Amino acid sequence: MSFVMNGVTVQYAGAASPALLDASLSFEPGVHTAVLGPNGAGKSTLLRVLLGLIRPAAGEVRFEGRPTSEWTRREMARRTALVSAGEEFAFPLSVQELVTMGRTPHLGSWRAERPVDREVVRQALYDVDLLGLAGRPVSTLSAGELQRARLARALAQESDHLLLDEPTAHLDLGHELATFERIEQLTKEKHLTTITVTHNLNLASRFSDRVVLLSGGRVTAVGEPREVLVSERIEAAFGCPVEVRDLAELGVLAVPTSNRPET
Amino acid sequence: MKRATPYLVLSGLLFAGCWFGLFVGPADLSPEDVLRALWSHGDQDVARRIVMGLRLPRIVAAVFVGASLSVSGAVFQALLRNPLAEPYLLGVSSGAALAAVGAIALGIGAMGGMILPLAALSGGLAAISIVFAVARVSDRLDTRVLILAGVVVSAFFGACITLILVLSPAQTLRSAFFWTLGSLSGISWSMNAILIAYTVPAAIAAWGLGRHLDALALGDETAAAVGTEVETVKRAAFFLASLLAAATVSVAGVIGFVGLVVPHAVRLLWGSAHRRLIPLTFLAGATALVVTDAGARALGGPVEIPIGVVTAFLGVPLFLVLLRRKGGA
Repeated sequence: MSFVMNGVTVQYAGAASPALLDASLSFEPGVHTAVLGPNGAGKSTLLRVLLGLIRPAAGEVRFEGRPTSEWTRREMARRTALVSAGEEFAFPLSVQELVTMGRTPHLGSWRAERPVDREVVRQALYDVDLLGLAGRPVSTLSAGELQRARLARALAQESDHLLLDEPTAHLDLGHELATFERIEQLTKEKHLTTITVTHNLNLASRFSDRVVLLSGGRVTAVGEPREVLVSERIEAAFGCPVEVRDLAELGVLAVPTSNRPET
Repeated sequence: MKRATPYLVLSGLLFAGCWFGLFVGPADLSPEDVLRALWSHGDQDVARRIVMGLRLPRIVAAVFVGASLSVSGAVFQALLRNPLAEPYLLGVSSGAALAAVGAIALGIGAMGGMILPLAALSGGLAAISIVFAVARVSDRLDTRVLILAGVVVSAFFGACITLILVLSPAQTLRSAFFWTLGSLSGISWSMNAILIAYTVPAAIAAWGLGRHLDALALGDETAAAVGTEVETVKRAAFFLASLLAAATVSVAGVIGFVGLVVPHAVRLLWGSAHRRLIPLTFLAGATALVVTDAGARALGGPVEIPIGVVTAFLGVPLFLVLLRRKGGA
């Protein structure tokens, strides 16, 4: 088991209710898990607590059998990579420099980049089809290219656990599909433990092996996409009526049937 | 080869600036005089007394003050994720100035060579300790609170300085006022020794933070995810940048714009990767202040214009040009 969480509750200071309540989940290698749920359901919090970026108020998170609090950030970054939802660029940066940051846990503070580091960065850029844009300033990239550059940085960490927070936000249809295909392919090829937070129920059902449904900080369903993505569960979680169609190999399509969500 | 070019260019300029600086002053010295003064022994030689007692310590001070202010500015900019941050933003200078002006007003500043710099250094470090304590919320350093606390503490200390100046006799007023303007004159070898002892290790440590400062520029969460101990790095960056600034203020007073313009220009020319930016900024800052100081002395004639005024006159137009070119960021 890669990650095991047991009765985890997360409470942010000043928040009225916990962001995550008594959550127990485990994740294993080679499996792509999609985390679904409405805004504020605790999806990003789940990723943060798995990586030890925040401490649970109750319960325990273990990574590879050791409590996450015992891992240093550097050890953790050699085994896990995160593509977070938002990122600011305070200073001009090239794609190459952005992706090279993924080598930080391998280089530490003082070591200069070695040929092996440059090769890993090159391979990561190749994996996301950005080799031709290595020298471009990050500020000139399109939303899709930027998202791929950040995925390349995560790949350059050479970790066997990949956590993605809405990796297809702001992406168009084609780029969204390509991203999910790539994530699925990398998971199987490199036998990664992959956890993707997303709002695209359709692509999640098509490209993930397992779905976790969150609502109000609680895990309301876990299982194979077709077991979890049924209309009653989606309606309960998102608070709006939906019609669900099974599109066979194209996954499950959930279409809201009313414009007035109850929450 | 290409990676080494900026280092070679800046080192060359720095050496040329230092060499030029040795010839600026009321006494006309030939290159032979200067070389003889540098390599000979004994104090009988007038040229040696001018070079080793006046001009060289001033140049050495300019090198380390310029370098330290620039590295301090670069680190503050990374820590605060703001390209417009500068070394004095968080109250170091006002704390140091208050301690120095206080020491002058009480009469203890005039007692000995090292009292004033040490008072200023303690004042600067006291100011940043207050700012740090305010900005530390439940074991995390909030950089937005850091800026606000720094600005407010600076304003308070500024008011204290004004009060002391108003209540002081004219003679005290003049020396205290000159101190707040910044000056490279009268810096002794022992003051230089303190300056170097603080700033060189701090600058090297800041260089070691380079990769983590890159990560920090993308936000705390991403930085932590690539293996940076975010809070440790923020604290280290804050103290190193503050120490660099405080050490310069303690020997040379407040010299504006070097710490803002130099890192900005280096970022534009050679990129923002801090492992390169910090050593390049060190060289560029040293060069900028040595050349500015020598140039100001060569043109100023008998009246010494405070170096802080000169750097403002040069720095402001230069900064406005950079700002226009970059469209505000």
